[in-house]
Amino acid sequence: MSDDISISRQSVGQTQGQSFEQYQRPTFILPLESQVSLCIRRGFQRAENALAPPISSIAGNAIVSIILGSIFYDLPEDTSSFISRGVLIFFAVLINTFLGALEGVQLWAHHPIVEKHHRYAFYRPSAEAIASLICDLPNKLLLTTFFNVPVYFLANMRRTPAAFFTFYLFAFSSLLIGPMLFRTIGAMSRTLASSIAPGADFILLLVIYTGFVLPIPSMHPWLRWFRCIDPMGYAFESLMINEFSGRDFACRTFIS
Amino acid sequence: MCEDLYAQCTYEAESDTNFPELTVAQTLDVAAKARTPHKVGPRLTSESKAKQRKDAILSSLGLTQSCDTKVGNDFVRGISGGERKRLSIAEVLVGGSIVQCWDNSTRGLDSGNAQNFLSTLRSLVNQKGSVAFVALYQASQKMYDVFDLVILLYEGRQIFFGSTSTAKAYFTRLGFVSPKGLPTGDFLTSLTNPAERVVRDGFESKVPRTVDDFTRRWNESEECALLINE
Repeated sequence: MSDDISISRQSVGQTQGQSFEQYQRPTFILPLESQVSLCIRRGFQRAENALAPPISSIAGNAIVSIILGSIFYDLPEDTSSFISRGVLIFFAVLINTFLGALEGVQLWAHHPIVEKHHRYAFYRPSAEAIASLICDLPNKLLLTTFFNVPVYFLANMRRTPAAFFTFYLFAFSSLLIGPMLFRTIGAMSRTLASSIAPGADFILLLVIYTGFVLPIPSMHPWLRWFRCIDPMGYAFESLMINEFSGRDFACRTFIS
Repeated sequence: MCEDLYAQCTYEAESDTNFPELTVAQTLDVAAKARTPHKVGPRLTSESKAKQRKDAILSSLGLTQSCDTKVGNDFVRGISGGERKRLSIAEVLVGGSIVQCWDNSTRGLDSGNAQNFLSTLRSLVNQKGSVAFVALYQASQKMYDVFDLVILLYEGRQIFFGSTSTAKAYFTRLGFVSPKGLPTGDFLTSLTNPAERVVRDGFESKVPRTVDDFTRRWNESEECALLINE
């Protein structure tokens, strides 16, 4: 009887022009745009039902921002504040980028659910990935505002609209890039544990080759190329230019 | 058919995976909308068809009163364990695939809920003309009778595949005795355990004893020949 079954399977496969054992693509009923909008709607429902974590994160970061601002409170507009301004800019870029370092790990909790839905042919995992990006945007916008604005004004950074909004732009993009990088690492790993180690390596490399801890001339040539792909490096350089370019600072000390 | 088969087959494993923050209604909403085509009919929109499907399954599995409660998990408070199980089942039923495999999906459900699930499955199968393969542990007689066909495997080899009503007769003819009051499902599974099966007096030498004996007797039997001809 088993011979009969295998023959009938073969004949069906041959009439269809492909073998039965070949992996068939799941046929989704909805097109990709509808899948994405379905996942977006669900993402906002999930955020609505669990408001406590994002709100507490925003509140906590606002407090950190005020503390940071008070450490660098009212930096004078002369040469004595150069180092402090540099440190503050580096700190801002650092914290913005690494606020999202744990998002790759968080995604692992949703892995089984998304895989299950993919198996049931509800939607593709890529639809869920795009949707979670979009659902996260309001949270990121609020975080940018509540974290970066207090520290910018408390520390007396360059008070022109152009400078402020440029700072805001780079802070927002750092906030987006950090989680994106760690999600990529998380998505490429096969297990949860194996997604943490490359993440840690990247953190180290990103921080060292930003250009603050090590000035560029001091960087050894065999890893200096990392600066070209380091998003933190670009953000830091841009913000330094934003803060210092075209500005006159009074001399504080005279070196004779 | 081969191209469709992947999406139309669903395999329901034993674990429960759901977003803990979503409510029951929201979870099933996603399932219903993901599996309802845009163009449904002249008078129905796909939204209303999806809602209809969702409401029907919700009520048949007894989840309507908890439809606005969050699903929850070990850390977030939500619906009970049995309801979570029924929610997983509802998700697959709402998905509506043509071939469904259910692996011990009644684990943790009381007999009433398990029976409910099987009746819902039966009516959906009748409606859509789909096929459901179900593996059940401790099936009562009532649950066994819901099904049309039963397949019995002994160490991976098939020793019976046929109608649920003739299974008992076939094995009784081979020489086994089903103790009074034992559900047919339990009788069939006991046959695969040498310590559990009961042989009728006078049949000790004629009854199959090893897996090979069972398989040989099955292959030679009339029921098998009938099956091949079908």
